[in-house]
Amino acid sequence: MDTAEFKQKFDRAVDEVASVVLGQRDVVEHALLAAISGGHVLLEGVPGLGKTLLVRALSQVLGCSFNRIQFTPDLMPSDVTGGNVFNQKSGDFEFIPGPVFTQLLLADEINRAPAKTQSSLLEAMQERAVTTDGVTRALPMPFLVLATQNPLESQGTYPLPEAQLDRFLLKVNVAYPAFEVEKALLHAYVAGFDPQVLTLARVLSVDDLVAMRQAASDVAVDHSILDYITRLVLATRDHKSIDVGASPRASVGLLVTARTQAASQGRNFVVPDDVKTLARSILRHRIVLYPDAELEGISPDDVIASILVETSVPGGVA
Amino acid sequence: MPRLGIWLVSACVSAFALGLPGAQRACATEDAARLQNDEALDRRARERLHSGDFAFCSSTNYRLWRDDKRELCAQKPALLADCPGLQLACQRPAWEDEAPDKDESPSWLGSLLDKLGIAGDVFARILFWALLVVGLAWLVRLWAKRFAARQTVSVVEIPTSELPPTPLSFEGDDRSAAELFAAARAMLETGAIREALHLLYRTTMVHLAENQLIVVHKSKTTRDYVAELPESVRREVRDLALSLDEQRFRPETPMESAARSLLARFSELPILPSATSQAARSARPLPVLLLLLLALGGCSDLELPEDPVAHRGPRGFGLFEELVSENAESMSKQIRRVSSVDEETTTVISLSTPLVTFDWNVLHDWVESGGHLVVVEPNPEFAKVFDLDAKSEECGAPLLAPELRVRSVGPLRGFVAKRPEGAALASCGSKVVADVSVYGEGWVTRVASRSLFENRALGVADNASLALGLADVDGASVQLFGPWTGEGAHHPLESLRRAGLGTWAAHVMVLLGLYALARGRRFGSPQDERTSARRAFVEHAEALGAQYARASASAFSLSRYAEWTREILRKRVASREDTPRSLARASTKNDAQATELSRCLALARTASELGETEKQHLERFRVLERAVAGTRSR
Repeated sequence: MDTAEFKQKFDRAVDEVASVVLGQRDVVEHALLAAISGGHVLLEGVPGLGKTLLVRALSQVLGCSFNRIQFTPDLMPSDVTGGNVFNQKSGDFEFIPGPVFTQLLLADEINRAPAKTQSSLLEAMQERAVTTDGVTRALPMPFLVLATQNPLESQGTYPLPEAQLDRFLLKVNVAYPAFEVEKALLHAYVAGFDPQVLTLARVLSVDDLVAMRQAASDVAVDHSILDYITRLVLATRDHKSIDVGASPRASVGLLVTARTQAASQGRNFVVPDDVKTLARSILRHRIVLYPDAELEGISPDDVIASILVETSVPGGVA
Repeated sequence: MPRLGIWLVSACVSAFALGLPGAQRACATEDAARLQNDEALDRRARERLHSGDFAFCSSTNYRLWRDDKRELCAQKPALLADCPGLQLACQRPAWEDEAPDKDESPSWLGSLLDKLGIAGDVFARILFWALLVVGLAWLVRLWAKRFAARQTVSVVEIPTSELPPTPLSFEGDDRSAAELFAAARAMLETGAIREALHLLYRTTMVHLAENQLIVVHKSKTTRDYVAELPESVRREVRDLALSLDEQRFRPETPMESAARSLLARFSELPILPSATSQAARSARPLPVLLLLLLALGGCSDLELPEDPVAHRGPRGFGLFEELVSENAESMSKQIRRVSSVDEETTTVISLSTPLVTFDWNVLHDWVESGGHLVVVEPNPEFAKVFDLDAKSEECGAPLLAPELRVRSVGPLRGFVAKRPEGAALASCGSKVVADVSVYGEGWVTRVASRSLFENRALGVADNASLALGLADVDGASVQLFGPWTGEGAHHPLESLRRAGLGTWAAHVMVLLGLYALARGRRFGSPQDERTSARRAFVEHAEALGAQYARASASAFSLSRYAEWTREILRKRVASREDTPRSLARASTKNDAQATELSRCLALARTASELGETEKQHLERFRVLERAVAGTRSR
């Protein structure tokens, strides 16, 4: 697949999803970039912004199976992965697969479950496999987790550990829609739109996803771009407000996603804009701020913005 | 009182009072000693009056008010002889009579406005204020834009790590767009196509920056620059920049023809040539600056005519003030209300000053302790406090003073009643114009007519000698009271306003602001960035409190406070048991308070499980706070 075809398919998929998820085109693009890059997405936003709708729409457009887990404080790891159940007829233990055995998994309000349950997803997200009672079972391909968390409610929630956060390729902040978008949304409902009944065209197939991933991996990256990515990530480890900086997994994630982004623009090479556009989504959940900085009201996005301002882009103008 | 004249007057007055023989003859001699004719002084007064500082005498454009014209122009040739301005002013109509002549407005704007009449005057005033408002608005807009531009670049300091230099970095290269373009062409000729394209990209952005369309920064990418561009040039610049990006970062070596095509596209950008454009933009404030300056210069003729009682106006005291300053040992003007008299002051001269009873009381005490008060046109409050008659009326007879050839200019007044204990210094007919008398250990000189001290009078005959003689300022430390006393400004801006300079000052401030912005940072001296000081503990506490508030964690903070309260109470009341009930009993004075505190201590620890509201939490806080405060002294 060449980049022109990549761009065409990508744009069609985004258009299709964006036709029901109004005003969130950036979020849709990021989710699709992650899906093509083989990464997982953490969506953060208040309830009611269409996060679940986005995932369901994406599953239809990608032609993937879809499952949803509502994370609650009493959710057990076996409720996610499945487990061996004694079959009285056969007199033997039989594995009942959990909802994780799907291609597109929506982990809704993931930070409401305790760490034990959250960590049941760790292996699934990184290894694309689930191990129960010593038996490892592969998950269907492609496997993509889209998790949501609510930023406002801190009581009754369990913050995701750094190790788990690092597994997410992107963290996308979902914002409130603008006036015009919200009005258009109401018009759609007046015209009979029902979010429970989605009939979106299947624009991409699993084969397409594999081909697009291959095309993205063929995108050329100049050494100056690699230098830029390295500097950005290293800056997070030197910053005075950051306690724990981004890992090398972040560098790799930035590179892979920048390539996919370049291909989605119809280019077979990466430009600094690709990196800079994605830096926030890639890095914001991978850095841990010092308590002093948090008390001063500095957010990870502020810190990343300052890093982007301080870092020279290759071939830029001083 | 070191001065001899006063002692002589004192002796004279005593002799009169005691009915000593020969007192009248002797005293006439002593009065004459005080009112000596000083020809040099009179000459100096005339010279000063004609020197040019007193516009009513020297200015060829001066116009008089009707009363002044009537009084001054009747003085021929006494006052008019050496005052060419006054001679001309006498030939012109007074301010009240008709509008100014055309040749009285020397500025081009004044002449123009004369032709336009009242409409022109209104136009000029509207122009003045409109320009001030426009200038201010522009200034605010420019500052707001600069502030916004500064805000967009968030500054959070990053420690510099030891990294290799950035590839393709142009940091420190401050060449102009023209120089960069020439360098890019030269680079292309050498075959270094990619480097030439990097230079061309830089040329494009620097060119846009020179035209103030964007602000370049090392961290900005094509997307950032395009977002900054105005709609008019965005499309073409974006296409060129994206094409340059494509050629610069693509894996294949760029074609020379493509590079030449991009060079040509740059040359065809629809932007003014940098030099012209830059000059045009930097000159943008100039028209407004010029207009403001013209308005300043042109409107100078639009001010109201000089107030006749102004400092150097016909009826002002400017010349008298100068003469006192020259002859006295020291002189100061009293601007504030009279609360005390300076210790070194020997003479206070009150020139028709509207003082109140309190002020006169202060002066009364001072005179009784040995001071010399010269009071010109005393008011009823003076009469009440000093118990000296102050009533006066106009006097048509000529002014007379021993040994002096004096002449009144303007209305002359004399006291209605003579004071038997007072020694007359000047008179008109049967009325006393000025006299002096002993008062306690000091003296009071009353003068019924202020016209003796006015600028218009001091240049005539021996009037200057008379005025200085009445004030008796030789070797004295004088404090001068006048219409200005008690009317001092409370702050510098009020001073400006009173001087009629408020709007002019605003214009000048706007001009300076625009000039500063036009000049840029070079206008001011560079300053170091402000370093953040160490934060106070209270700021940390406030920040933490704000965090808790955002997280709606009032229950948690209440439980922590309850724990702390319990610990404090346990230490302070030295209770054996540390149950809430026993602590509450030992900490409070009555059972009701003890019950409430006990309940609070018990419930606050488990506040998060009770589902209470923030308001209830706050009430519990107050109870605990009172308990802690109540045991503070133990």
